[in-house]
Amino acid sequence: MPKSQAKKVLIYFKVHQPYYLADYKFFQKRSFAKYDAYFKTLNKQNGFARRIIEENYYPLNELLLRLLSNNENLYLHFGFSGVTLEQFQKYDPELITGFKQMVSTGRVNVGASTYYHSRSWDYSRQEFVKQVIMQRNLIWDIFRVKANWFTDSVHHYSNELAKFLKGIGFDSYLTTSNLGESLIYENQDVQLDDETQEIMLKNRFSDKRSKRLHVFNLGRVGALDKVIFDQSLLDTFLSTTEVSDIGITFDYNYAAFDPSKRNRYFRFITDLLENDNFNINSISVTDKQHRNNQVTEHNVSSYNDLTKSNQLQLEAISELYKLEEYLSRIERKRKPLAVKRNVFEAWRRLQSFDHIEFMDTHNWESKQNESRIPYDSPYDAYINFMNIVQDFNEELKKIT
Amino acid sequence: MYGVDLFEEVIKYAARATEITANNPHDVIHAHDWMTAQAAINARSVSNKPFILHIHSTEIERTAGSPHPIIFNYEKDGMLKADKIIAVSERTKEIISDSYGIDRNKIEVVHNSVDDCSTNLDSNTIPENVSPSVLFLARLAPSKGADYLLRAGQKVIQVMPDVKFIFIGKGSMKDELVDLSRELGIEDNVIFPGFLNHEQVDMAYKRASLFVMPSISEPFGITALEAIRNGTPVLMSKQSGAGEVVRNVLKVDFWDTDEMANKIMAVIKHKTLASELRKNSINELQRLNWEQQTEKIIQIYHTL
Repeated sequence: MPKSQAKKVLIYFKVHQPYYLADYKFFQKRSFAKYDAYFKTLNKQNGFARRIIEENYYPLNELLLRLLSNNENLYLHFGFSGVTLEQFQKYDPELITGFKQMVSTGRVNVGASTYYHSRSWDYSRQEFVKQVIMQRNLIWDIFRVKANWFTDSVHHYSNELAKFLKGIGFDSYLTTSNLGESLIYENQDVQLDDETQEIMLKNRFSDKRSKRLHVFNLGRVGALDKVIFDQSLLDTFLSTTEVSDIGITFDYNYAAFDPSKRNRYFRFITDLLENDNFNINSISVTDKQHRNNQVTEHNVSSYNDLTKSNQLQLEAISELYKLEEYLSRIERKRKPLAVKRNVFEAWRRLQSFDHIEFMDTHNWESKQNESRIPYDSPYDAYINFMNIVQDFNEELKKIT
Repeated sequence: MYGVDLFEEVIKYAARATEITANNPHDVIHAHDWMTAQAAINARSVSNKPFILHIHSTEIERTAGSPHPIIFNYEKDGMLKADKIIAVSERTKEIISDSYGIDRNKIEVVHNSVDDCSTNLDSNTIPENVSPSVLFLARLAPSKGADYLLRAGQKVIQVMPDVKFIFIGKGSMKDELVDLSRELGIEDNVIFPGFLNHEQVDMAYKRASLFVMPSISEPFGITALEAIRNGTPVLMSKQSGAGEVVRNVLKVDFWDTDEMANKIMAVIKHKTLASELRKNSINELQRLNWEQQTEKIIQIYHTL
């Protein structure tokens, strides 16, 4: 591996579990005593989520802790959503302990994101900022570290968002795919008010424009599995590519329901992280020396494609954000704090973008075979979501 | 369910088969369902050509698990003696294997299709002032699950009082269904127009907000494809074979009338849902055609 010896690799793990929606029929009105009526938690009754947690989260934590302690040069990046950590605090405190142990090595870097894994930037800037602050506070409370870079797999990249993030103190921004495409990222910088910010952009695997930082977006779509799980193919890629830095993202949820695929996934992670052919230690998203070209809006417009969402998704998300008007009114009124907290919590949990992704009508059968969708079809996901949103709408009207 | 005459006819037909086979050169014997099974067995004893039994529906499914013993025996005998069985769905293949004890390797699945999948979507524009309607089209027999749809209908009507339920078809359950609709207090919303001709049926599809096939057990259910061709969203029971070829439909367990009502209401309420279902199911249907399915059958002939 003469060439790949110089390669630097960034390893990123995405950790996210939403509050899954309760089965909610249109005519079965429940009392809205608390937002709980709309959601399932990670408790024992939620077989779908429990299985992902048991099959993937616990073994992955164990594996990564072992790899971190075996190799003092190993350096990892993590992106947690707030709703995930909050649920683990309640239902899986051992996982929190494991993550804390990792962070305490000083070699695990935790990123900031929206608390609810939402696409709030596109619909409500005010809401977006609140969720980012909530998230940063929770990261501090749990890990006692300051999240100073931003990671996001929900929003489409835009210079405006990048600039905004820079403005609120994030020097680096790792942005990922839209609606489940297999993508690779490229590292380019953006000039902002005479200061630079590091942007890692998604890019197609075959895209020749990728220059420096490649990220295999692992755990999103099966198409890249062959490349991803074949160590020799990866070695070939690494030894032939012109790029000097490579990034790989791993999803904690990947292949939880497919034992053989999961085993290959874990083995791949192990092989990769134990591989001496490249330096995993020496690259970091906060490392200022990895700066590259400017990003212009034009450069990324093709990845900023909202038309990929179907009508069901667009309608569902817009119905949800229409409710903000009622919520603001409730916030301004003299209402018990508990009532206010209750309705905001429900609204925010509904914003987790997973609920919208479950409505994707492309390739849903293969996703379903991998049991990444807790519904029989995207139509069922839409019906359930809309039933809840409509019910919530009526509740809000009553309160305002 | 069947008159004595039918069995006589079947026996007569089987007897004639011997003579017809002897006088007409042929390469394969392709029989359909139990009524022609014995004829095919006789034909084979004369010509010794390969015998294919094509199963469109089984007695187990038609009678929701209480088969007529004579028919069941005709079916099973045909299945055992056939060189190959063609089933119209994976679901039917399962039943042939599980309930009749036939070796799975002998059974091939060739799904049904529909004529002319080219549909003009614009032709399906339900006039705004017409009240929403839910369409059922099948024999009014127990296996078709019309009673479950009525029970779901009652729940729908409680919330959406202007929804009409139209049950096209004839059958032994007609009176029972009329009584049930009265018992449920929804007789004003339920219409039994009897048997309609092709044009009238197409019109009924086009006018309907949703087509429901609530079968307890449905080997295939070609009406679901006809509904799609006419631009009508479909809700079918999970116990239907057509669900193997069209995925962009809503599905529900036939007995889960709460969920059936929930889905009927969703389609009526959300225009976006109806139009996505319509668009995506038509796209799927256009990938199907009889030529493709015929080619599969010819391939099977060549293996024998």
